[in-house]
Amino acid sequence: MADYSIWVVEYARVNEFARGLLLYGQWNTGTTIAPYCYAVLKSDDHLAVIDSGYNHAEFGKVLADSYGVSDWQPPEVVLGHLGLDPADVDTLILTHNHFDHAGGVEFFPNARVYFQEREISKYLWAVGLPDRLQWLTSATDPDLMLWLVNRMKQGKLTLLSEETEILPGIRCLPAHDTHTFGSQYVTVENERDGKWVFAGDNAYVYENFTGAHGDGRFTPIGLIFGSVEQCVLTMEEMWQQAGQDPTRIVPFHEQNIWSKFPSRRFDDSLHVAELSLADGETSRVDAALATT
Amino acid sequence: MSVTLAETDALYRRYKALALAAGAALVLDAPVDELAEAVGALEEEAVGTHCAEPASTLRRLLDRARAGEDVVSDLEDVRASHRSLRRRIWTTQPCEYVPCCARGPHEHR
Repeated sequence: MADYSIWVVEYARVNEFARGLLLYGQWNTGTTIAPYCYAVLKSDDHLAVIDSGYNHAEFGKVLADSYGVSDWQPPEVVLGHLGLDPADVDTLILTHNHFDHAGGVEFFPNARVYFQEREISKYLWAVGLPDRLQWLTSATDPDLMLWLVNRMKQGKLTLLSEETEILPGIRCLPAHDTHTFGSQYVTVENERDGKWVFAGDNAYVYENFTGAHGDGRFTPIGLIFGSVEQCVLTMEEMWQQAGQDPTRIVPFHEQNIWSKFPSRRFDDSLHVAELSLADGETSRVDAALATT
Repeated sequence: MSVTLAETDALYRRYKALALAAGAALVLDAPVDELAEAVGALEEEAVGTHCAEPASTLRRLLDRARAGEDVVSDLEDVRASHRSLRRRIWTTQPCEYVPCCARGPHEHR
């Protein structure tokens, strides 16, 4: 086991995000703020990032504008809040192939990318489907796939198909046929403070676990390319991995994460939450010590 | 040659599905013969449309992959032609991504 410092960094946000998309069945219940985040894991030996964000140019900008995304900043700025450089990231785990999670691979030029093989192979399967079924492929773009080809040609792409420990204490677990064909979630086992679960988009917010009505009955996400059953069962897996403690599960679109953990809002309005700090590591959310 | 918006959109959708599959095949190091033939057929049908050049660029990439040649430089060409096509298509057609427009109607037509 290793000890990782863990930060959740906000790189953009949607100020009016439909609750019905976050919580299945909550149609016409208004909107909420949904941050766009990824996670940074730092040990003595590795600097890893879970998800990459997107590039606010070309189709990333078009999609972001259509969703009402604001305050986007590139990893250079977002990791800069931590005093870190994207070029030093050696490991990039992509939870799934949607633009806001996998659209920023180019910003981490030296990272080995870890991805589920099924998240790729299903696009080969889908090309044989008639046009009327191509909705199934409509949440990604050839641009994202071509970045992965590039990384594969560089010998820096590892495709996974089963639970795999990719670095000491960091495991990728398949979540197939859930939010997407080949999603994965990530666990980090820290010697110092135990296990953390990074949900990807298999949960958007804490309410997915605590229930849309606060009754403790899981409410799955509102956008599912696989099956609702698999989504709920994967939530149960994550719930058990987290010791049934929702604060040990990290959803990347949850605004309440800033109040659950020590956090700081930077001058560009973006937040950083400090989930875990390894011995000898300096806090990035203590304004007096922060490096910005 | 006059091509309707609907025909252009249909060609784009075929092109996009093939481009996604081509990328997937290259990542997986899977055979691309059938894909190359399908892209070649699209290239012929797309003559005179915005989809012709991107289809041609994609077909060249697959031909080189089929021949076992290095395709790294071709990836940039495919990406550039894809981006150009996508920009053109989105001037007349709504963005096809889901969950598109989470907060309201399309604003980028």
